[in-house]
Amino acid sequence: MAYGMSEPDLRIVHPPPRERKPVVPNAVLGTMIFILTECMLFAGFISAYAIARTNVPVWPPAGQPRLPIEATGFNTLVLLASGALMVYAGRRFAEAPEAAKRPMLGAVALGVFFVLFQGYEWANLLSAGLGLRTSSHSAFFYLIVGMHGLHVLGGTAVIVRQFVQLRAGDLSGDSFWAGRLFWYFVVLLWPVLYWQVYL
Amino acid sequence: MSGAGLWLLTAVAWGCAVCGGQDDEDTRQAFIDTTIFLSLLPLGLIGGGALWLWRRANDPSLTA
Repeated sequence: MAYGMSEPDLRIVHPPPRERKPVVPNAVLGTMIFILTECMLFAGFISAYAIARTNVPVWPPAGQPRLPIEATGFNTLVLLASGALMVYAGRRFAEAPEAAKRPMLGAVALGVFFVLFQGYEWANLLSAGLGLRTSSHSAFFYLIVGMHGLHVLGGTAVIVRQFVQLRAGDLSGDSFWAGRLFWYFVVLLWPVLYWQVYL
Repeated sequence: MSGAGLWLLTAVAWGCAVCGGQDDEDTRQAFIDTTIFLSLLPLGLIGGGALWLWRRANDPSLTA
């Protein structure tokens, strides 16, 4: 190279890579997959129940206590209201996390009420003589409703934990999204079960 | 031990949908309906989830 000539700069300059948010946060994706498996679990229960219904001429079987349709209908509205409050909490959280406290607390309270009311109904049915072994109808009733009740309890525990995190200022949007998603599943599943089991 | 546990658990509930099945038209139709339901449900769930993810992946507002 001749003296005095500068060497051309042949390095390739790449533009800075575009930063892209993940399509779905890991917590939400994991919850979605979990919900998918739960849908299949309850679909299996409902399918088995639908077949069992065809095995007896009268359903629910004669001589058994009737299920509390009206009271459970009211409880269904309570759970739906809890879901609506959770939707509202999600919107408020997007604006200002602090603003989500009240609707979140309301959703928790209604969820706890739902479980306690279900427990009260179960106690009444058990005292009226409807046990797990009474018939296939009662076995399915306790299995399906009980499994859903366990999910409500689990969802309530998650929301309570997230509420504590929110008060401490530690609740991330992704985590809250995942928790809400599970709660929506629990809430929206119940009317289907109510229709199948009670009506 | 596990065998004894299974024996005890199965004695608790009368939930077996197929053991007590009768060969009438209603039961046969219920088996067909639930087979279709259980076959299509996972396909719908996975397909719906995949479509939702694909739409989100192609959403320009997600690009910072």
